Amino acid sequence: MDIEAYISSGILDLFSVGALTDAERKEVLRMAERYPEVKAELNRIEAALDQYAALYAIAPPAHLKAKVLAAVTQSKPLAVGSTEEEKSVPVVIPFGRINQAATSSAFKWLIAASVTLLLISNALSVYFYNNWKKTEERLQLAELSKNQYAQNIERVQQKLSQNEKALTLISDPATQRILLKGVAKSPESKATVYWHQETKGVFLSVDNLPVPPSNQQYQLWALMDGKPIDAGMVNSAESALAVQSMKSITQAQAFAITLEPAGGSIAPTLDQMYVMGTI
Amino acid sequence: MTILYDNYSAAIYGMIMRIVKSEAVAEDVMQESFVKIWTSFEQYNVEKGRLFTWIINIAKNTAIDKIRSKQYRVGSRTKAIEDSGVSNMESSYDIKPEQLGLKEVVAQLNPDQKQIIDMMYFDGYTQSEVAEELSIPLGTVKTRSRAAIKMLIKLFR
Repeated sequence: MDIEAYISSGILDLFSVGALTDAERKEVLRMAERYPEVKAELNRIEAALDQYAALYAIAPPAHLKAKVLAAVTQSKPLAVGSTEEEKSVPVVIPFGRINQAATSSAFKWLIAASVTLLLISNALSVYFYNNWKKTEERLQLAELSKNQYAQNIERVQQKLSQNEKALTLISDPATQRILLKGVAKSPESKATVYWHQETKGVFLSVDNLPVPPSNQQYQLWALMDGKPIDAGMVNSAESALAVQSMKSITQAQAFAITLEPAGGSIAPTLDQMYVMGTI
Repeated sequence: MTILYDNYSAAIYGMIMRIVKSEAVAEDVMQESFVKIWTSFEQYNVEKGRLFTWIINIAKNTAIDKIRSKQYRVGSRTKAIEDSGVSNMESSYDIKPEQLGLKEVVAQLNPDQKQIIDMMYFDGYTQSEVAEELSIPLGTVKTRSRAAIKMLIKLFR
């Protein structure tokens, strides 16, 4: 291809002044890429045209600069070739009226939905809190009654084992049964002492004794040769049928019960004797 | 962008004024051109050509699009401005050279050659449109533009 002829054909000049069709332009660009001479000539032509255009330069009105720069900042900023100052300028996207209406409507719906959810959530919180409170109370009640049952069972078992012991004792042939009868002070009173001859264990079953004052207690005594021996305090709370385990007594000729200050006395207060029985 | 504006605004404004011939329209085109330059700046490739050429072509195309748009025609008609091809073209030669040196340059150019360059370069005519408008063969358009540009290259060397 004759590059000189191509250049002198004037096609590059037409290209540079923008007088070619798109197809012709592409052809010229292909040539410029292929032949450095073409590219160099194009550069020369464009430089000349640039200077020609520059001859017509007119200083634009001063106010135009701000206007143009404002228009540019409102357009999409591009990273390439931009300076820091321009990058930091925020992009202002004006909202149309329709957009605004749609936005505010959507916003209203959003608020309504949020408020509704909040109310539902609050109601559920209160409901579950109350449920939890009730359950907590029930649990406490249940635990309380469970403890009571446990205590009851323990007491019953203690009593059962006591009674079993007592029964064994009473039914034992070696057990001596001594009836204590009411004396002058309280003729109605009655009690029974079971005394095992081999183990020397003493058991007492109160049949009828007046309720003692709160600061006083009945005390069982064994009498041997006129000397009283402490056989333990009587538990007044025990029911009449209950058999209480007392202190072991090795030797005795008689048993008696007196009313003593709470906690018992070393020696019996004889004028406060209620029942007595001899062996 | 400020630097770009300071360096090129006069040349761009001159180019735009040369084409649209109305300060009000030129301001609009100026804005549009700079927005275009700004938003398509990443498309500019140093390999493909001079920055000035690229910028001036954007401004030129924007201005030409403007005067060819219907909006502008309606607007210019209300201002009773003739905008048919030839009269528009001819009026463009009335612009007084404001730059020192332009007279000398213009004087060096053959009027026929200058007319063709200006029609194509400033008014966006294609070579066949120029041929039709001036009733000359396509080959003549090519040779005249070639001669004119050779002269320009020589003048600006």
